[in-house]
Amino acid sequence: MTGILELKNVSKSFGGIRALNDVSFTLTEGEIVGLIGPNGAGKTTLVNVITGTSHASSGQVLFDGDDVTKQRPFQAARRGLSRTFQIVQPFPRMTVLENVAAGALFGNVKSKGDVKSALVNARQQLEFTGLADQADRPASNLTIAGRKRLELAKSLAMQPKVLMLDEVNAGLNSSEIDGALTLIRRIADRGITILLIEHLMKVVLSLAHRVLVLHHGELIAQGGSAEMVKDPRVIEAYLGKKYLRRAQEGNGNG
Amino acid sequence: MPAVLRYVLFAVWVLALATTPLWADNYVVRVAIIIAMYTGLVLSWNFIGGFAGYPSFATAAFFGLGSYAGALSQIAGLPSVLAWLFATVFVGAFAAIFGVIILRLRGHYFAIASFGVVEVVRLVLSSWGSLTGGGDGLNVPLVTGSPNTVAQSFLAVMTTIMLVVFAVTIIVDRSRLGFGLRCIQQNEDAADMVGVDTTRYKVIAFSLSAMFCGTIGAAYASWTGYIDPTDSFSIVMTVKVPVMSLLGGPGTVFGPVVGTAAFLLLEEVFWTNFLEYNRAILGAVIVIIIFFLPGGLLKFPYRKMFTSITRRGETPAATS
Repeated sequence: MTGILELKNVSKSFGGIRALNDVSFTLTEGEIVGLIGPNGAGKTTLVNVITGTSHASSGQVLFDGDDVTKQRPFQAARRGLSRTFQIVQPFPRMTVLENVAAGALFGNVKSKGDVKSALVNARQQLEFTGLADQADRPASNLTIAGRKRLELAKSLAMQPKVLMLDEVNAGLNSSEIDGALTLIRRIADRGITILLIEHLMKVVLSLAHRVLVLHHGELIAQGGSAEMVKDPRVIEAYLGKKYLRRAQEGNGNG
Repeated sequence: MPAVLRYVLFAVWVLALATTPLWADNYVVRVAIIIAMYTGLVLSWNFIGGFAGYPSFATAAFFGLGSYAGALSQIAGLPSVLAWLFATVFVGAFAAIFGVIILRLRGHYFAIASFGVVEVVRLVLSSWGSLTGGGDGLNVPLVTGSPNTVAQSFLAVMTTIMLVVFAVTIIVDRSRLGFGLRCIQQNEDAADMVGVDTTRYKVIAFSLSAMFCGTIGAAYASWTGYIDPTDSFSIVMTVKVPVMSLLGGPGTVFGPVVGTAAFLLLEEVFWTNFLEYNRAILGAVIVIIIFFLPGGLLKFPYRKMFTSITRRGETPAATS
């Protein structure tokens, strides 16, 4: 068991606001870890710091033993640190196939680097994610669920070692979520480490081996997903002190 | 239109331009040289403005710098072809250095900065009198020969440069570089996220868009035999080039060729028929075309237009 991604005392401030405060954790190769927290807890900032979209004010990000704190996003992509966006980011006037090929062409360092083999690789990813029949449509024509899948296919084409999924299930209906769950499980079966940023407890509970809880930029708790749901700090962060007291009284009374 | 047909039409067009000395008078040959020259400039602009989507107004800076680099090295004793090559490399390197600075800006800000490059280069060259002759301009060693042979040889030179830029355009269009530039054009942040080294790609595109303008500027200096700052750094040129590209369809291989031809032929018609109002009419035509054809002439749905016209003809007949 080796740590593939490690954060050491990472902090990030925007002006006077501390979006991340002294966050440290390690992801082990092959595991699925959930990252939860209320709105504005700093989840997306954390992913941005890991992928080089913004840089940590202090602390260190280590990937595969290398210090990658100051990397730029394209370098993160080539190293195998891939992400999807909460707000999907397609190339709107390209076809679905071309969108995915872009990931294979530029993000996959093991590829031959020519457009033709990138298109072949892209088609495989579309088969895998169930988008094959949409391959030649413009990306802007896809439904929300389709676009989320496109984001996934694009990241997979980059052959990532660590995949960060930023709310890939937001805005999906429950049958679409079930489809997405199976898909994420199959991605994990390929040996890809997954960091799952999620609001939906159903998703986190059914997928994650371990959960990190972020609140006001601080990592307030981490552990197995079932115990995290019962953790008083987590309940307080999500539902407030009053609810916590009431819940504990309720438990005490029987 | 099938791809093969496009190439055939392009070949016919190039042949028509190149053979003008055989079937037309010197005036038409001159127009053909100008068309070949502008096609080269517009194809060059297409690398940064079309593929990468960065609206550059720096064409005149590269053209002017190329004409001075070519003229000065010719005066220093370099044979003309070597002087043109020197201008190409010099302007390409200049654009790479400037690109690193101004390509940090996006959209309108980049457009304004690129406009600034024209003014900076023009002011430096016109103030540096001891080297460039300042406002008096420079005399370039004249090409010897009768006016006819000179026109013919410069037609050959400009057509060759245009074909070289066209070939480079095809290569870029099909390569990893072209793919990456298109990604940048559509969503630069997403391009960065999938692993495109956006800074490097943009600098390459900017440098490509500059170097051939340098060649064309140097060849132009040799052709006219005299250059001065106002002629070499014309604001009209820096605006015309993007307009021609938009007219044809930016980011495509054939758009720049079609746009340049359409624009320059229209301009010819208005010059000869409306001597006083030609600029005003041309301006109005540009506004109308850009307004109604946002994707350029190549993207216009001709088939749809024809079917709707024929249908409109049929409906009254059917009801009566």
